[in-house]
Amino acid sequence: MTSVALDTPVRMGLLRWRLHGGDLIVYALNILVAALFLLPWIIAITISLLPETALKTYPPTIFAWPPDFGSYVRLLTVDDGRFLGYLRTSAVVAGCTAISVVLVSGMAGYALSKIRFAGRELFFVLILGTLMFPFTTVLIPLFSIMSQLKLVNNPVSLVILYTVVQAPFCTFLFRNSFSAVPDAVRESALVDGANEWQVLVRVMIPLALPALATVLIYSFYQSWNEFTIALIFLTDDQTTTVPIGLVNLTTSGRFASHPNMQMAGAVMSFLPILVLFLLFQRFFVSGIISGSTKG
Amino acid sequence: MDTASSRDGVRRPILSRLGNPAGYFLMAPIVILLAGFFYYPALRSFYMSLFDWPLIGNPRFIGLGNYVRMFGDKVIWQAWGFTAMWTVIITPLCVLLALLLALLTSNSLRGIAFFRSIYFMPTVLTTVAAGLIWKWFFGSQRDGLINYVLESAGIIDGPIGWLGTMPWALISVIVMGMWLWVGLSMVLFIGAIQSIPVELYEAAAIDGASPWRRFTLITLPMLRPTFGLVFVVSVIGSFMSFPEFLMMTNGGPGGQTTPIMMRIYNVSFKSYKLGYGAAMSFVLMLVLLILTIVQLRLSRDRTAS
Repeated sequence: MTSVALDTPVRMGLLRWRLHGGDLIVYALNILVAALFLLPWIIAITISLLPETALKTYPPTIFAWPPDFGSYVRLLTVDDGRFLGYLRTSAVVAGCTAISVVLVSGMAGYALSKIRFAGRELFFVLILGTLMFPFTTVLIPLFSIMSQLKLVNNPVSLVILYTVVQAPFCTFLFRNSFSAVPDAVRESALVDGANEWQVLVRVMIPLALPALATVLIYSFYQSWNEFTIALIFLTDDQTTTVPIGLVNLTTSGRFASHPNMQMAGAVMSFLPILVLFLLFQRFFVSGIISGSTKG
Repeated sequence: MDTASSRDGVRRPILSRLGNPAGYFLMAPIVILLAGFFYYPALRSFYMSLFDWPLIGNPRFIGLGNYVRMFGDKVIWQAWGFTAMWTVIITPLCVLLALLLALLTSNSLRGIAFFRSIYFMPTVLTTVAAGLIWKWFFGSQRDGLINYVLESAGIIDGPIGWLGTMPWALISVIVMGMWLWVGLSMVLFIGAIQSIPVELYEAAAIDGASPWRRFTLITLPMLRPTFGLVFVVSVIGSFMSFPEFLMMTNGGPGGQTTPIMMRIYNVSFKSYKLGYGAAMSFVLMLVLLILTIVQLRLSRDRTAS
């Protein structure tokens, strides 16, 4: 796997100058652009900490000291914890999807990389083929299928559909990772009496931990952030996910003219993923790289 | 085992010719999921597009009626036109900025990885949160942050109605879109730059090539396949744009910033004309497939020549 980690330096590029002046220009440009890129994050946080009295002022207030956590308290307690419900649904859906994607794509990736059976190439093409078609174009028939299965407004439908969306790419990831494990490792485990399932769980996956981490993280944050599918399949406001609930609360709902509440909602929606990102940056990126360069 | 038996000239039973049955068991979950929730609905999407298909009540077969209707539907043409315009504008901007950021951060300077992380960070954000933040930045009143900054700097006289007037609404979403998505393409470029053999640069440096010449003669040609890939990813992404506009402009003013996905959503899940929506998404699927194939062909031809 080609792995580009955000946290390790790349050795080559245009701007590799021996001159000290060149380095300074690169730093200066980076600092300038980075400041612009960071601004929305910082202002979202400072606005979320404004007291109600600082909202409709001119010139606009973007920072107040001491910070007022009132917006967070209010958001978490509104309507007996409606926002907490969104957070819970999102966490459950994203967690279940991550597990389901690991199972489904780990099994398929193992079969495609190590086991000989008729039609293997065809299966592989059919799985990769789904990546050519954006999933959103099949949502309408899916809606009538899910209605017949009585799964509309049931988070299970999201777990199923997110698994369908993410599993092909993750299968590909697992397949590449398992292919790097020597066949002899698998064969000696089989000789020792392990069955294929045991080989997968006890031998292959422990040897492909970076792929496992990449898939878990990719799947979790994609599911946490997803918008369109959740909008269509969870129409009931009480059981929906954070992005949809946030839209309901802020755009037409009662917080339409309360930027501090909106920003508090935005901050709470990205905080779990941001923490995950800061801890495991390299796995966020390795998914993208290996998916694209070999696709 | 199978090969051994055939070598001995023993006729193999059909079952063993299929190979290791474990393969089928392991493939079963993904095959069932993709068949039931992807390939079947893809076919059914075409089937449904031949009907007047309400949410409740019986579908009525109308042949190609939905497609004919689509051709005469000004609102749909407007959405296609806007989607095309949005794609044509944001794709090159995004690719260019991504390349610049990749070049700014693919060097061995101390602490450069920190900047790379900052540029990538927005891509892990949900579009809804990004929309909330940027919508506030682009507030239309005098106290909107961008209006205030521009007015204080003397660049504008009165507030700009960013999200409610054209072309400002489009510009606002472009700014947000670039901030939100540029990190993805940037990472693809960094990956490609990283895989260029260092020897090429060393040889060029020995021959006295300036940094600019090294860039145009080594980096750019080596990045060609990546350009193709980044373009495909960006074009598909911008054709699928929907939450960006729902959050920022809600399709306005007067439907002028309504992309095709938003139109499909409204037709299907607000007006519940499922057959009509299916016809539209079927056309979208074809358009995207053609675009992807053309772009991959183009980038492959260029690398071959």
